[in-house]
Amino acid sequence: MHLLELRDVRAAYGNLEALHGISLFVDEGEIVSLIGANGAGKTTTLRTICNLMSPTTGAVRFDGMDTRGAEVHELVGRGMVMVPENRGVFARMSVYENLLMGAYQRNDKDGVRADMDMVTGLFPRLGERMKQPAGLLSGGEQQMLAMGRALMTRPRLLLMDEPSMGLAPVLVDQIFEKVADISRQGTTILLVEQNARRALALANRAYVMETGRLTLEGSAANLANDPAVIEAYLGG
Amino acid sequence: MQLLLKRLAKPVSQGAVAGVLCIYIALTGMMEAFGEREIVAGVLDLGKVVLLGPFVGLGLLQQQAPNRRVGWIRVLVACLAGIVATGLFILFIDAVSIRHMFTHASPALVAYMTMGQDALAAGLGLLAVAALAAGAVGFGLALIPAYLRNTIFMAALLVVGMALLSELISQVLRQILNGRPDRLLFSQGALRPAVAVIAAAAVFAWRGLAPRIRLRVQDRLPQLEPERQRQVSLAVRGAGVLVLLVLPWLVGSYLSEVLANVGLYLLMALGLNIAVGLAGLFDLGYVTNFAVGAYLMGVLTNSGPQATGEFNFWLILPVSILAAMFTGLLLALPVIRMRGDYLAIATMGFGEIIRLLALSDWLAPLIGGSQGILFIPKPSIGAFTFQTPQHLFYIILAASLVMLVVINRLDLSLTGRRWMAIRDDETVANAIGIDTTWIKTLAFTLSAASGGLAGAIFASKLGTIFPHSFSLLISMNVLCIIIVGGMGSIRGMVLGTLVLIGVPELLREFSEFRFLLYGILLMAVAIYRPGGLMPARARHYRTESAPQPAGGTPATSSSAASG
Repeated sequence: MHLLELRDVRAAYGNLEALHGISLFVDEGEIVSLIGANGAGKTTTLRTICNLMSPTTGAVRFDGMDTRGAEVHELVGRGMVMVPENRGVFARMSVYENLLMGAYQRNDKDGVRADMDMVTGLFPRLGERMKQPAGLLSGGEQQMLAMGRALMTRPRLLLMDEPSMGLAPVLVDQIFEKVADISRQGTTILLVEQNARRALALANRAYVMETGRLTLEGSAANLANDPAVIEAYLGG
Repeated sequence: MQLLLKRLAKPVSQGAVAGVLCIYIALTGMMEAFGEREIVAGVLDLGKVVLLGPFVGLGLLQQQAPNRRVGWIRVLVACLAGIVATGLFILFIDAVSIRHMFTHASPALVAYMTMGQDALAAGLGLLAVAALAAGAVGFGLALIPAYLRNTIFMAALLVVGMALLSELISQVLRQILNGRPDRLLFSQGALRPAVAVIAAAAVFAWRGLAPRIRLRVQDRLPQLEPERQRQVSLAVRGAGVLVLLVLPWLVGSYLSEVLANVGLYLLMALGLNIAVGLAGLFDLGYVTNFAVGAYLMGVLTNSGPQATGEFNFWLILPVSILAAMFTGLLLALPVIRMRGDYLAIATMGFGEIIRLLALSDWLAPLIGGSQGILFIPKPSIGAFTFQTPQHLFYIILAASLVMLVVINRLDLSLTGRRWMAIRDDETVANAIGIDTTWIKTLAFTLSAASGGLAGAIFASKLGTIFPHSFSLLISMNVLCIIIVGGMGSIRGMVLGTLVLIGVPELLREFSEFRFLLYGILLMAVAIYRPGGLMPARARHYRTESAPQPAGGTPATSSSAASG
């Protein structure tokens, strides 16, 4: 059984259908990338997966459960969490408080503390800036904080929306290294990216999305050598 | 020629703005009303302050002049422009009566603005001289060092403040000392000139010494052991409570009434602050909770035509709070998915609905309709009745202190942080697993409790309630307190209530222009202090169990103090 499975999912904003039938799956332990141009429907797919939007038809199954009707926070409780686009940290709260918000549903104090140590181990920069308001962090640090906060929920599946957006190339390298680290610690990752080259280098498998449809799928290595992908996304 | 015009355009337009400001103040009637309030006996009244104040401002504005000579020229030009505008206005209302539109544009106003001179020309001349002098004083202030300038401002503020609060000061003095000690300071509400000079001199003396004194307090407190620090802060708080306890007997009956009103608004502000300040939910219908609390207390305790049970105040107090919370919960359900402006409009609707329900014939048999509810008894314990404003002050003080503690705890709690999380970004808060629906409903419900409490005490304090007491204005006033005081800041709520509710009650001259002044204050706060007068403190210090920074220096405070 797949950890996450979408079967012929359609979703619409009002009358405007944004997803015209998406079917994909993510297995335990994988890194799966969803690549595509602006407006292809990548973010909509993520929003539909974690129920910030409901599909008009089709089914999303997470860990064997049909997610229809479930509240967003229930899904987080079951181990699926999203790192939102544009970081989305709580600017007026401290780094520490932001991380604590991730542990919202948990009662095990020792576990929370251990995870806090795990996150600061993974992102030493956050440990140094625990007391600072999150709004004063740099873009890269905010991305790390958003990832760390998501990890505080102890997710089984981490959904990441454009983690490289607006970051300097050297920071993008760092962020992708961290994604690999998180994956090695056993968390499954579904990564949405415009930066196709890096996303394919990191992932096990990948899907290519165009105007609300999946056009290609396969192992990341194969896709990286696919002439159509090279032409459209890897700059010839 | 063209260059000259270009250079003079700015001072001329500044002067014109000052003139228009003068005209505006005059047409609203403020100038004349303030003219009756003397600041320094026989020397200065408040009307002259607002008449000449803009010209002082013109002088101050020329601070950026490249050199003194240019500065003086600009001051002269700006003041002349202002004088021409004001003078033309005076000539106009003297020649043409526009009183059917502007009731304040009267001969009395002309007489006041021309300094009471018989001949119009002489009066205008005197006004021009006074305005030029004011401009010169302003530019003079701009030239001196900032510390000295601020000292002068503080001295002026103290003198004006003492004169405006003369009634309060007299009252307190009379309670403490025998006879009429206030006559030494004031003559008919205005400061005696000698007293004004002494007060100003005292400010200068204090400002001369202050840097040294302040340095010592600031340096010594952090050096004390934590235990001692706790003791000091406890002693300060104890003294504060003690002052509050004797306050009503110091200030007398009328001012106790004012303080009681301040307390009721403080309760509402603290409550609404949960929704608006912490959770970011713009609730414009807060009067709903106030009305529910008041009507429940009224209906269940009154002995008039609507008598239903005639229960005891203390029994109904918690019931009123619970009822308000239940209303808050009910009203939260339909609007919980709305955000921002939509929420504000929907909640504003609730505020109107509750007022119309109170007015309606349908509910009239129960709650009296437009006749209201009469004969609501004052609270009592055994044989003792809280009859006077002084007595009632204690009930309100107790309620306020309890709410302050409760809300302070909430602010520090994990729930408080969740509210702030949805205030900062609701979608993200939801995405990381916060149940936003529940946490918003909780904010509405808890926020309503304090409003219900205030309403219940209000009904019992007044003895009668009418639907028109529960207008939209109450919601607006409370929201103004929060914005002026500082959203999410508990100390800000206290200051905001004192400034917006307490001060206008003390300054009767202002009461007519209350909402005009609210508007000016709101704009000033929005421009110069967007966080409010006392902004919520940055929250990054709250890291109870946060690990110390790796290889961190022991404390940042020492470096800040020495720097």
